[in-house]
Amino acid sequence: MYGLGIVKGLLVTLKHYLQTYRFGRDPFRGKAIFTVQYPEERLPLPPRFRGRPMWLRNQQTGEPNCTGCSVCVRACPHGCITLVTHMGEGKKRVVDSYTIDLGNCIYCGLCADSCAFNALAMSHEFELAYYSRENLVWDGDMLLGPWRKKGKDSD
Amino acid sequence: MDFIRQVWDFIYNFFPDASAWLASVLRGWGWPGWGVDLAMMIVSAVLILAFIMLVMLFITLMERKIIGRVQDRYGPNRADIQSLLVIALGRQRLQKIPGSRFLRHLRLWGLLQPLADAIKFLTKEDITPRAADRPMHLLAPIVVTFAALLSWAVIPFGKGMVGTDLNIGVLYIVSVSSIAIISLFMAGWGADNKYALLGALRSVAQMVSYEVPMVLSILVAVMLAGSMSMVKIAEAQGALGGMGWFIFYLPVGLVAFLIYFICAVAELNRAPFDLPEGESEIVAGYHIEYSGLKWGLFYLGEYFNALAVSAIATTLFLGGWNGPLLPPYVWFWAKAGFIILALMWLRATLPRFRVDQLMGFAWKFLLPLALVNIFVTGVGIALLQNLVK
Repeated sequence: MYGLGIVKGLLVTLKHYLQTYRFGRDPFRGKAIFTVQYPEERLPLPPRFRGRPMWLRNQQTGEPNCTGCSVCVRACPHGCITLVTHMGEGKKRVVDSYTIDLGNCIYCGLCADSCAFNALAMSHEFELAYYSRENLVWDGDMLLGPWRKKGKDSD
Repeated sequence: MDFIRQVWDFIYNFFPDASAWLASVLRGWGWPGWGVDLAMMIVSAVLILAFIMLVMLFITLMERKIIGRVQDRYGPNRADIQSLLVIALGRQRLQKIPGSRFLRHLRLWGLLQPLADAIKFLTKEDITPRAADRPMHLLAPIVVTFAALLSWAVIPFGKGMVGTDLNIGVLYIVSVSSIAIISLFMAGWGADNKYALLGALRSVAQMVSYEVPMVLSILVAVMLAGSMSMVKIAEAQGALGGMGWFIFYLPVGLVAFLIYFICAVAELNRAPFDLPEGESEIVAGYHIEYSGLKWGLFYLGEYFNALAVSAIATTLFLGGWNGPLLPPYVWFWAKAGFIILALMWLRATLPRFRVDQLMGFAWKFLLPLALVNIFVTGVGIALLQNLVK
């Protein structure tokens, strides 16, 4: 019969419409509404998610693990890591400055993979919008604090 | 009991009583008869237009929300008071108001979305193509909006609630709704763009074709009521305690209603008949070169038209204000709202027609059906009249 297909289609859309009012959840098929209300609701990040790189500390002393070997600088495909060191007592290097330009970083994780001293890892932080590019150049101190943000203009 | 009855009467006849009261007050001030009439006309026109505007705003929101729900998402729900105040006052000034940052969480289920939309329309850049026919380009959205508003003059919202009771109300509505066709063609021609012209041509062809079965289906209601006045047509459906709607006059009423509904959807250029603006084929049709406020006017006109069409369908086939128990205006808007819901439901469900299917459907199916329907109606009326004799 003509028009039956239209009625079927109307019933399908009606079903989907009504399903969204099932208190948000359908016990067998998960959520009826797929929207994630982002800033309030978040999907769980996978454990190996690559956010911005972060510096790791020595758990005992609390000092950064970085030895200034500059392997990460050479591993970085964009050259967004800059490292300045000088030779200290004995054979130890002292890190003068270590900065990552997050505006250039592609979050490939090669720096963290190449690090031999467990000093660099990829964090889970990804909300890195700033009003100015200078705020995206992070130094060692900022890379250490896992959830610290720079400046007042972070929004 | 008496008191309850009085309150009920007050609610039931609120609008006619209020207008009678206002007229008597004006007469009491010593206004001449024509002055009172003029004032009443202006007041009712302004009230109707303001109400329609308000309803229209929230119908846009309703449509987006319903289609969102159909597609398993929420629809717009994030237009918060804080953002609106940031636009109105500026961020610096707003930050000085204590507690203003909590306004971000005051979203009212997206009820402010129409306001946000309006601000967007008003602040967007208004582009006129260099080669455009300027007066045409400017006039087209204005004409389409006003044409959509014109038909509200004769639609009765309730007993004694009508702008003007024209004795040729149906004819007026049919002719007024054709003005939109001209404005669409103005838009297509004025933009000097091949896609706009194509879209306008398609649109004009479609609307002219669907107007024919639409008028023929309206004719059934006119025949059943024996009058072309919208008020008389609505009154004629008041039998059986307010349930003698023409749609229940089987089979002719139902068929006529369905034909009218289909043609009205086509006339509105809404899905599934929205091929004048098929994005994948002709980019956006007749309003491709419009932006900002002018595009907003098209959008406005579209929704005004949708509202008008549902009101007309309500008056012609769904009994207008008639219905048991509830006050007339409540019945009227409940039915009109139901038709609007049906329009949204259809839009959320059906894919677009092909051009040849569209034309074929109008000329090869709807038109003969409408003609047969009129024939059956005429024979039925004649038979019934003979029986009564």
